[in-house]
Amino acid sequence: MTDRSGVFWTAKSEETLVDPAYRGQQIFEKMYDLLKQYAWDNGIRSIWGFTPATKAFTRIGFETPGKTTQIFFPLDSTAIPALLDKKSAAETQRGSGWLSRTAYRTAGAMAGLVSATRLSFQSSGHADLTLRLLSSAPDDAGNVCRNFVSQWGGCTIFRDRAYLQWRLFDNPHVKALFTAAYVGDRLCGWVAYALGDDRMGYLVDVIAVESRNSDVTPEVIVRGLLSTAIIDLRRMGALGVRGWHVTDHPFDLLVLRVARQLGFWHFRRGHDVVILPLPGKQSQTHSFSDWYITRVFTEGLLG
Amino acid sequence: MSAEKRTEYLWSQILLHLNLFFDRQTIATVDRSRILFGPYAAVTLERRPVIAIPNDIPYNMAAKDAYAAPFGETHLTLWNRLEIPPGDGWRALPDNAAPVWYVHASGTHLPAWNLFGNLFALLTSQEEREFATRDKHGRFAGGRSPRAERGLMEVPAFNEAVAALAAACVGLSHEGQAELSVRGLVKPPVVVLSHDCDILRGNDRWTQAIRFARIFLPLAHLRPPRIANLWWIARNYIRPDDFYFDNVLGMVNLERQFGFTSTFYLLNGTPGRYGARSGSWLLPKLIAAIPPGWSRGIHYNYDTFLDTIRFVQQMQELTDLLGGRPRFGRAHYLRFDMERSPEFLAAQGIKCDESAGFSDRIAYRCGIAGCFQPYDPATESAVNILELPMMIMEDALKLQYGDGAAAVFEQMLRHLGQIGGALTLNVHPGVFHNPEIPRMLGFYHRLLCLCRDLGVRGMAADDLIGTIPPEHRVRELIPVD
Repeated sequence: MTDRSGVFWTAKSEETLVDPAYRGQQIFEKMYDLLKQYAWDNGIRSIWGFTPATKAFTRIGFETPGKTTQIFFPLDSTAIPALLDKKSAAETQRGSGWLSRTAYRTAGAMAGLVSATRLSFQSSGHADLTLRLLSSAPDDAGNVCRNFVSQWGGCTIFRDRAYLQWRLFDNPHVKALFTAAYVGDRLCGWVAYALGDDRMGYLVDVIAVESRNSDVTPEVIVRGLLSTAIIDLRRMGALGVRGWHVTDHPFDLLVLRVARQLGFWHFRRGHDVVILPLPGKQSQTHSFSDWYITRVFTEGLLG
Repeated sequence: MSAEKRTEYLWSQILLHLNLFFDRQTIATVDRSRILFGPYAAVTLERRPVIAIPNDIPYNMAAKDAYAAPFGETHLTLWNRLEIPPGDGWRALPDNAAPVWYVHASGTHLPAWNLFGNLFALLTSQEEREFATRDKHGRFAGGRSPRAERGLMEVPAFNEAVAALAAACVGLSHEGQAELSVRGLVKPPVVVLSHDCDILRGNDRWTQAIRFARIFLPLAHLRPPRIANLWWIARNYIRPDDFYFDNVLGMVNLERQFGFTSTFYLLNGTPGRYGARSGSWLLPKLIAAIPPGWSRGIHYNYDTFLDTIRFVQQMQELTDLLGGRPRFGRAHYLRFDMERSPEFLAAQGIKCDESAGFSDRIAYRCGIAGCFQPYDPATESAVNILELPMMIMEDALKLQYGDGAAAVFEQMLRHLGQIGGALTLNVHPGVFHNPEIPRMLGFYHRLLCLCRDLGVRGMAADDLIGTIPPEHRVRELIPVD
């Protein structure tokens, strides 16, 4: 990750599983003892992750400082049941419960209509702003991250060219589309988005910084980027577009505000965040509300 | 007809196929192996470790003796079975119930089915040459094929035979007996992706008129009229690009997400119901929307079928628009005559054609999942064009198999993974993501997910042909860099 003092390491817990037959033997704790030692030896400041199983983590010292919430733009009447994971879109189309099916579809259609109307009334352009779909990671991505923490404060993952290339462009599962925002020749932000196997569109990453010598604000950049993501994902056949809102970091709040203006719906449904600041590193660890995190931190099955 | 020339032709196609889908070591092994072609009476007298293939047994189109022989983790579907040769020392491999080879104690291997006759008949479309019936568009319908009633249309017989041959060569060189698997010898299968850009806007007069007529068609069956069509008429009147031109952009991005590419076949020339409904004026916009890495080819207009003047006119217009002559093509409405079209297209400068498929069903029209050079009976040699038969048209697959369509696609890929080959898939922009055709929503995405999960690469025909080693690029067919 990076903050105003530079780049530092954190460890992300991606998946931790214990065979049910071996529960109660403190295997989870023993595994994390090893990880904690490894993290300490390698100068890692904290271990963190998203999980529905908070009990297991709090028992071994993790804190639960927050929760992911969702922003959602419906594009199809089957988007809501697909989002709620109650039924797959296909099942919903031919499902057994006529009433619930009709209710979900009506809600999806209405929400989609409202969202589409709001999107159509939002201007997503600016004469000085150019959006380009890139086929490889931009060289100056690292500078954008440095400028980001300098302008917005807090910390975020350090996405330099090599990281973005590995995480997005060379991802063997899904190569997220990457639209970059330029003011003149200067890279001022990007959005990465992908169509998941469930036909849901996912916002993988959004970032924007102030442009120099121009009145293109980060808000204008975010609006342009999110609009492009919605339109591209709609053309690809997405049922809806999902993204995260996680903390009160000023940029996360900006993304939420712009997303709502564009027709996204915000609702509180998601996993808890768990964090373990490592002994001796607490003073260096930012409060979680200062973090700006997106799906680009995750393993990448959704792009 | 010279048996020698027919053999030379078939062997050249087998080599082309091996070079596309097998690893170098296997190709070298096949190259070193002793494979003899000759009259049945002669090859059955061989008494040494060779593969002896009879090339004088006529193809029996009416054969009803198809059987499945185990091969690796799949099976081969063979027909026109041969009897075990007379005399002592012969045995069936793997067994007499479903033999692939007849093996003599001396090491001679004889195919247990009419390998030469079947493959030659399939590649040269013997059944289409012998059945004169054509539909109103002048096409041979898949349902007319004698293979259809026996369930053999979806058997890549050529691929299976070449796999059996390669496995036999490897087995003979190692153990003195044919193996019945090519595991580890074949490259992962490929899906050749393409899009026929027939209709690029949903507001042309033909499309709108057809929608209007379909409002009332159900009345003939005492069903309520399809009022919803009024919505689609209005919607595409106001927003003509929705679900048509926009889908081009959507398909490119979807393929990009998987690291795949495809070919867009552009339709220009004469307008009309069967012609270029959207007109040529949209093509510059389409050409600009197709990014580098994706290929562009010509979609031969309906009225250019074997008509040199009209074909040249269409080609000239498209050449001007593209700034270069397209080398790849597919026929609109799949108007393609296996006997006359290859030579006609080769004479017009087409280097690779993807027309040999059926609109009414999914099928390996020529029994091959891959590409080959069609045969010219007059000169008894290969025509200077590559044919990459179209196996799957998206809607045909869905209509034929309904909810099981994706599973059938997966099964085909898994089979090709065991024997080597390329599946061709054609998805129209107006069908890819169009709520007017709900059965197709998300279908292409699902197929691409399956490709990724099975380790199958999706590519344009251009990319597949580019993998042919230079030493096997015939004449001026593929320019050698």
